[in-house]
Amino acid sequence: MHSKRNRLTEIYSDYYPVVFNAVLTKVGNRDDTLDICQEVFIRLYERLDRVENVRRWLFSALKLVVLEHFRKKRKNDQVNIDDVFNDVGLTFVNGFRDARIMIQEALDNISNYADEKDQVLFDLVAINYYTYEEAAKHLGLTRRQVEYKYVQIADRLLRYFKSKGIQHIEDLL
Amino acid sequence: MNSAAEKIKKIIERFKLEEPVKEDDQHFARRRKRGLLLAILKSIGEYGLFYGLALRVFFAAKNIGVGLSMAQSVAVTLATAAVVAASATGGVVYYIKYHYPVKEVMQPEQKSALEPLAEVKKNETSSVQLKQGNGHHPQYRLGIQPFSGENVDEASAVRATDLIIKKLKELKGEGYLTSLSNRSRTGNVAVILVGSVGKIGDNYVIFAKLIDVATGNNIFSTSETVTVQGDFDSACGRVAGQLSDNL
Repeated sequence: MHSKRNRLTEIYSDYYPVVFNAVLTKVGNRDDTLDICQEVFIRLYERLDRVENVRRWLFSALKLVVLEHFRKKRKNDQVNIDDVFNDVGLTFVNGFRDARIMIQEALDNISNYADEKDQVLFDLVAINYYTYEEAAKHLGLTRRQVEYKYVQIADRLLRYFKSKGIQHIEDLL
Repeated sequence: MNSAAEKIKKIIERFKLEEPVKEDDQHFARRRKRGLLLAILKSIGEYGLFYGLALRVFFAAKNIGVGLSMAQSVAVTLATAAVVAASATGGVVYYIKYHYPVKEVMQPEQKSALEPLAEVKKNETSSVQLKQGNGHHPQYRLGIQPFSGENVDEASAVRATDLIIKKLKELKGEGYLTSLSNRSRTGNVAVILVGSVGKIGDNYVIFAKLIDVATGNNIFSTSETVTVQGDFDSACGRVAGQLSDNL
């Protein structure tokens, strides 16, 4: 029981900021965001023994809890998940959409990161625009460690793009 | 910024993959991090005071760039609690000992002098009755305990005992006193003499005390100080003289 509690604490410590950020961008309200985050991690604890990919599970769960939140708030069971998670990627067409999908796959591919914590670090700095200092405090690293790891990840991603046939990144831009 | 990092940033911006979070929201998230976890743990029934302290250590370490695991944080908290408890206990014990010192127990000379005489107490004659001079002259003897040495060799204490015994015999008579170390001649004693020889700097201090066996009260005590080079024998003689005057 204690090891499960410790595991939850450590997962929470690493993933809380990305979950918080993902919910806040949808909900827009800090207090509601905290409530949703609390619900997500309570559900994670209840299923922790069965969860294999924590990151994937958390992002799926937070979508569900956010949807429940909107349905409850609008008192409308007909709220659609697509309405809530309106994917801006749909505005891209043809080659741009394909490139975006490939890039998203690259960002989701765990082999481009040293470990799960590295992936969280990248999300915070590159996606959520966290400063190196702020990301460091969440992850128990120093600012220099965060900067170093981020550069390492960026190099790995560029090598991944090259392996997918994109020899010059400027072509993507 | 490193060129690889810059390129990735541009790619993310170009394909609208970013989800920027305002700086004050970032700070808010970090400020509420531990509190939210406490709320989660309480709602699942996994919160305890000690675990709460360990969480403080866990998050404080992260804030300064040290990535402790929860197990390590628990160990650190446990060690800190043990040190604090030991220090607090030591402080309390010291305070009690300093402000409420234990009273001195009866001196061993008195006890050891009294113990062998317990069986003869019923035959003792009160020193008060004797001094009253009521016409009765009970036979009593003075019992002398060997003097103890305080910071001196045993030979000095033995010498003082012998000299005082010798002088008292001269003053009071042979049958008046007995040495209590000689168990074959305990007899009846009404008064015991205890004493010590100590050395302070260059001086010997000879201390002697008369104790009424029946009551345990001190009858008389005296001391003489003599330099190391001085006349130790005369000092013992003076002590014996004073004792004799008060017997």
